[in-house]
Amino acid sequence: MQIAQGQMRKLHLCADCAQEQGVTDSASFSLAEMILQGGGQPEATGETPDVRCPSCGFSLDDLRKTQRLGCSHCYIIFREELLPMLRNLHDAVLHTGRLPQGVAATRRLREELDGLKAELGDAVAAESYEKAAELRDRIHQVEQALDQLHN
Amino acid sequence: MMRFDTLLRHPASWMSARGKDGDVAISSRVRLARNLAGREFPGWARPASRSEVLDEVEPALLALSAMGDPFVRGYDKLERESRQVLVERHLISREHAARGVGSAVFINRSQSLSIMVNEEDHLRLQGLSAGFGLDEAWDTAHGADCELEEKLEWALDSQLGYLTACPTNTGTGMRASVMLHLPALALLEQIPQVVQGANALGLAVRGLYGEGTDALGNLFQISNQTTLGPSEGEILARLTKVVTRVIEVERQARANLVETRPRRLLDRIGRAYGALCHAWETSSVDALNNLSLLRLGVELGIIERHLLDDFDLLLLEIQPAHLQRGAGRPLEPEERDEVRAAILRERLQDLPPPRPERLRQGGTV
Repeated sequence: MQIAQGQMRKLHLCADCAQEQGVTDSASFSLAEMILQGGGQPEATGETPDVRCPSCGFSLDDLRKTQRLGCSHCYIIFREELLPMLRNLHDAVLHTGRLPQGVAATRRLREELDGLKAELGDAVAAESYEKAAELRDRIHQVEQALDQLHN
Repeated sequence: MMRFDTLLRHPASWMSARGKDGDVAISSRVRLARNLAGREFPGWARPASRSEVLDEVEPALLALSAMGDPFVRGYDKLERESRQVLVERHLISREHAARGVGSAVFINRSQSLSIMVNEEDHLRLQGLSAGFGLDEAWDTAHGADCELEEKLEWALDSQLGYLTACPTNTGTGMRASVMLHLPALALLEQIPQVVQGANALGLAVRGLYGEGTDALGNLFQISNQTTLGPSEGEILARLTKVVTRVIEVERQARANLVETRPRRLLDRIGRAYGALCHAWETSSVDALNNLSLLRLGVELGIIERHLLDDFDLLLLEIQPAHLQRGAGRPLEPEERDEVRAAILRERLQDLPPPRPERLRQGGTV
């Protein structure tokens, strides 16, 4: 019985296969290796211009076929295709978990900066110059903190 | 550096020790997938690039505070039979065992931390613990992650979190799981309900060796499916809640069987005992299923516990790669069944038969 992603299917295998499928069979190794190693990057398919990641050469076609990505840059190149895929898999497209200390700090500061800039816009529009001056000071502070993190 | 034989002779304490809720929960693990920024993922990378990744991460892995006196081996120097032994010990994945150039494994002395290099992702950090020990497993994996992030630059996205080769792991990159022994629910044919319930809450239920494997020996792994959206803490809390509930339900099922079907229960355990102690040809499926019933007998108090302290080790010894390593040569399937039966007879020869009169007072805790 195999249960994954809400689906159950029965595998009919002899005892040894059931126990050892892919575990000791040396033939399955070479097969796995062949598939897993991404075996030589495929030649261009020709007619239809396929979008490729400029960093690693992985194509949209590869993504559709393998449901895998070639490198982290692919997440930017194929974002449009990926977001619905991620939403489908996880019901969400925003990471709220931890990030490495430095990165998390940078992100927090950037968010704060965006918020402050928006507030500044409102303050200027409302002609609250005192508040605007205060906000400019804070924006300056956050920008300095960001500079520090990056150095 | 620890030798392979030393690793094999001293099985992990998480494997041999009885942890929290050890009557149902066998072991726990937390795995974090991490990739280096600006590098092709292993499945798409050329062999040379994978080797460079290994060279880059190796000093950082060896410097981990939890990595004292580790077992470290590149797969160019670890034959496939030995990798299979590590798969059977749950220290590496089947997928990783099948990999080649640039793949390596780093296992600390206590085997509570196993790091796979160039699996589907550049790094897979696994924390392992006995019983229902998700917190401990998390501390181990998270501790390694925190130390590594000071030295290595991870592939990240401010919106999507940690980036992984497969979108199913994007976000936290975390897969947490608990291995449960559910013989009573299996006897009562209630496993499908457990699976449905877990699935409805976004959790997966898999067999003994993870994805795509059969539920042998009534052993089931429950793990999170979602890695993007909820935080690590939220994912672990949800899994903990469900596992706690499944453990309760299994205990209720055991009590229910003792109450309503004692004869059936004694019959199954008695037959398992007979087959294990007296059979001359035992397939691994039969062995695992019978050992599951014997373990149930121990938990119900009708089979002596002390002789089965190394129950999980026996479970390992009869796996194909372990059998062949013990024999020192490849064995045909029929030979394996014969050798397996002999090991079981020998190891269980001093085990007294079940004592039915203890059934009621023994019970589950």
